[in-house]
Amino acid sequence: MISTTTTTATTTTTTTTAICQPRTPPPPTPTPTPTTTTTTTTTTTTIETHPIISAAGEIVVSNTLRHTPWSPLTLHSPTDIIGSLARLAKLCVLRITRTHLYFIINEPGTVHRAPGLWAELDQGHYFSAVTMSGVSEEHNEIFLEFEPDKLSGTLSVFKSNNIAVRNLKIKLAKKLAPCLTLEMQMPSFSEHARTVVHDVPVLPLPRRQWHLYQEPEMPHFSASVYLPPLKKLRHVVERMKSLSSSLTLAANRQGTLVLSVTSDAANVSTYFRNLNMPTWVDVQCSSVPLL
Amino acid sequence: MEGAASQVDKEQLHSATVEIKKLISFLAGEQIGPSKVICNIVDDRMIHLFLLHDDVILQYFLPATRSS
Repeated sequence: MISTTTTTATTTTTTTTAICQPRTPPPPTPTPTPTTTTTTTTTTTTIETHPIISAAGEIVVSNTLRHTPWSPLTLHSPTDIIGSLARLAKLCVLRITRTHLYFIINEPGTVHRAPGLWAELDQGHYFSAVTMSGVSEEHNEIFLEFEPDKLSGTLSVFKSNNIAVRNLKIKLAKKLAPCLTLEMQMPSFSEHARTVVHDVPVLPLPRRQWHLYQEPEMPHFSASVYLPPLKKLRHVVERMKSLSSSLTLAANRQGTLVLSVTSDAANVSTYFRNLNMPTWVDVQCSSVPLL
Repeated sequence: MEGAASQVDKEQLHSATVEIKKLISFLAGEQIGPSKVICNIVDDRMIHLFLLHDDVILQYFLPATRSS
C-alpha cells in the first residue's frame, strides 16, 4: 500500500507510540489520507526525490521522511536541545533513523572530527507517527546538515505557553532547495484551520560523509561523578571565568569534584564533596550508567 | 596494606583542563531540567558530560586544552 499514516492522536494527549512503516516504493500520485476531524489532519504531501550528485559521482536518491503530529506537550525538551545547539555551533547534523533522532556537532579543527556533542532522542517519545525511507533498506538513515539557529527560531513558538499549537508535522521536502518543512496547526476561532508553514533549508549529506557522524565511543575515563546542581556549578564557574580562560576539573573515586583556576595572583579551587557516583555497567560492549 | 593502597587510589584526583567558555556554554545551555548529569574525566585528555533525561541522551565532549 501507499506509505500514508493515519493517526488518531488528539492534541490533548501525549501519544508515545511510533508507527514506523516499512519502506514502500513512492506512490505515483500522493493520496491524501482520509481525515476524520479537523484536528487530526494527516495529509501526505509529495516528497520528491532529491538526487544528490556528489563530486565522486555517487548518487543518493529519495530520502523521504514524513513526520506526523508532534504532540506539543512533549515538545519542550527538543526545543531546548535545539536552542542549546544554536548556542554551541553554527552548523549541526541531524541523523534520522527509524527509531531515533540524533543531533551531532563535531568539534571544529580536529583531525578525526572528534565529536563535540551527541544528542539522542527517542522518536516514539515525541512523535505519534513516523514514516521515513532512507537511501536503501540496509542504509535506512538520513543525514541532514542544518543551521540550528534557524530551526530554533521556528520552534521557539513552543516555548510560549499561550499559543497552543494543535499539531506539528515535519517533512523533508524539495522546494527550491531541500528543506525541512514544519507545518503547525494553530488554534482558530473560525471553522477554517490556520496552518503556519516554516521552511528550514537543509543539506542532505551523501553517504561517503556519514562515517564522520557515527556514534562516539564511550571514553575510558578514570573518574566519574554526578555533578552538583548545574545552577550552583554555573555560578561558581562564571566567577572563575574572570580569573582565567581555562579551568581544571578534577575528581576522585570518592565523590569529590574540584574546580580550579590559576592566575598570576591566585590559585582558586572549589571543592564539592560526597557527590554520588554512577555505577557503570557493560551492555553489549558499550557502557551505560545504571541510574 | 592492600586496603590502604586502594584507599590512596580512591583519593587520587584525576583531572583535565578545559576552556572555561565551552564549559559555560554547556552550563548555560542546559535547560532541560533537574536531570542527572554525569561528569567523566579522562586524564589530561577530555571531560565527558553525560546527561540522561526522559528519552533524551546528551553527551558533551570537552577536549582538554593542555595538560595541567
